[in-house]
Amino acid sequence: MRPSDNKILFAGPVGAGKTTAIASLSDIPPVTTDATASDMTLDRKGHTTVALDYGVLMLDDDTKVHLYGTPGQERFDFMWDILSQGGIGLILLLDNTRPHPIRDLQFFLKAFDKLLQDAPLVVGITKTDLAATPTTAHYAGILETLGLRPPIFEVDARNREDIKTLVCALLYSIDPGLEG
Amino acid sequence: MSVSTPAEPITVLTAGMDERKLALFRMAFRLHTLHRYRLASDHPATPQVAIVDVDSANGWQVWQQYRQQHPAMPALIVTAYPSDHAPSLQMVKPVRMEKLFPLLRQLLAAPGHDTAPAANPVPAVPVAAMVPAASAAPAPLPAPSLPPSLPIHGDAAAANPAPRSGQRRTLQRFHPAGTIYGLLVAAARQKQPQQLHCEQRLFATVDPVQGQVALYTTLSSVQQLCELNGLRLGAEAAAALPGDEPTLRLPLPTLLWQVALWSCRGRLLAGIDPDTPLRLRQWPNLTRLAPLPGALRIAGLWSRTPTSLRVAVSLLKMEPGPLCNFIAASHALGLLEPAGKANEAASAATRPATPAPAPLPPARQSLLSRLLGRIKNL
Repeated sequence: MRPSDNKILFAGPVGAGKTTAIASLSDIPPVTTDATASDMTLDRKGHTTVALDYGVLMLDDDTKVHLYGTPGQERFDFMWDILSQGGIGLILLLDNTRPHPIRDLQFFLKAFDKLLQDAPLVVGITKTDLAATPTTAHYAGILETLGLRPPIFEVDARNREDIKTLVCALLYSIDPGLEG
Repeated sequence: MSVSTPAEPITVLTAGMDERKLALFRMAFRLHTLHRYRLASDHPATPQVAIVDVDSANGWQVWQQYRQQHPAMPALIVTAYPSDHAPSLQMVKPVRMEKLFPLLRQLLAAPGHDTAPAANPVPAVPVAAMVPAASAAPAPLPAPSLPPSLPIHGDAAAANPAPRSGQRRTLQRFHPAGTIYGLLVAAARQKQPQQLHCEQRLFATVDPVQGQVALYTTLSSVQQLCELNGLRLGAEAAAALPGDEPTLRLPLPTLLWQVALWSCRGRLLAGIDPDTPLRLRQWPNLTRLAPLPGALRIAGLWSRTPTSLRVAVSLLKMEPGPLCNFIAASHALGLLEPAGKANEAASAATRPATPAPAPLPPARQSLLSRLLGRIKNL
């Protein structure tokens, strides 16, 4: 197996919590390429990930699982295609306070369509304490029309247990009989 | 012995019960409005009637000890395994409110029903405990392989003796009728808010549209109510907000899921056959629901592959109990569906949710297993 296949991708729009989620799992302080946002992103965050975030989970001295957080801005979508190659699965974080979170979902599903043909998807909805709708049932209805039934959980990206649940759900989506 | 007038409380002596069972009767007495019943352990008054549970570890010795101490007091025997030679009136578990109080009144009205201890009241068989509490872990299966069948028997006690160690387990049935679970699930399926009553008291207001519920009692009381059957329950459309301030407001799915776990307690929901393939329409929102051991794995299986309970037990190498709890909880949320022909036809019109499950290469499975272990230990 190629080392590049040992990766989990975190995707989603700006401010959804990708960087925070990786930080909650990574064995090393995540490498972030934050920069002051120069566009409307500044309204949502003071800084944003320009390229990508990187973290790692060490399984042993020779085996790593790479955690990649894709840049949230669309002008870096060429990176999404590169990162999409191979991988254990995709964790899509959606910010429920954004103006059109359903459109965000549809956008990222299309962007990672090639990856999702071979790898599982898990959806984490963040900031539901600030915006209760759309509900997980609403997202599930949209995904079901596309023939998808992924785990969809409300999460707080700062809560390690929530992020662990996302990753465990990803793994059990691949094989419910996994023993860990 | 005379029957107390409704104005005078009736003191009930209990035997063979632990604190959890006492709490159940205490709750049942509190809800009963025709007569005032109270436990002798809570009040120093002379008891007038007794309830004796003969399913504890000491079995019928509890009855014999009780009779030696109280040779004349009428008593109701409570058991999951009724005997043809029982020395007194018997009530078959689970305890049902609509049967309990008439039997107690019958004993009080005709106390001479039982005055002498039976010489040999019961067959010499091991006794079994009541349905385990929601928090109790089920006893492990004697062997890891799936038994050829999962016999089911209903709530009425079987004539079979209690299972001994090494014997095949049987699944108990959970019938929602007359339970808090059934009341809430029915209310959740309505299109407008409902006011729910339990024993003629306002219990909750359910708004299925907003997905919210207002409780007029504590969660602790709800948990105790979940262990009772035969409650007097009612529901009506909520025309206006009740005047009382609710004790607690919470999301409806959260309460439904929790009530299901408290109520089901490892039993198979009525109407579900262990050989019917089941499928999840949607994963439960497990990060915001009460924990259920193995829920992620169960959801992982039933979200992708229609599988019966029997096969799921074998594939996941799990006890049936948590799977049954998952079934009841997912059904309450409207997420579980039998994978019958109609559903298969509808599903065929859409793209398969996930690639057809194929065995993972050993190296891949090893990596994923190690990653799973790593994540769990974070």
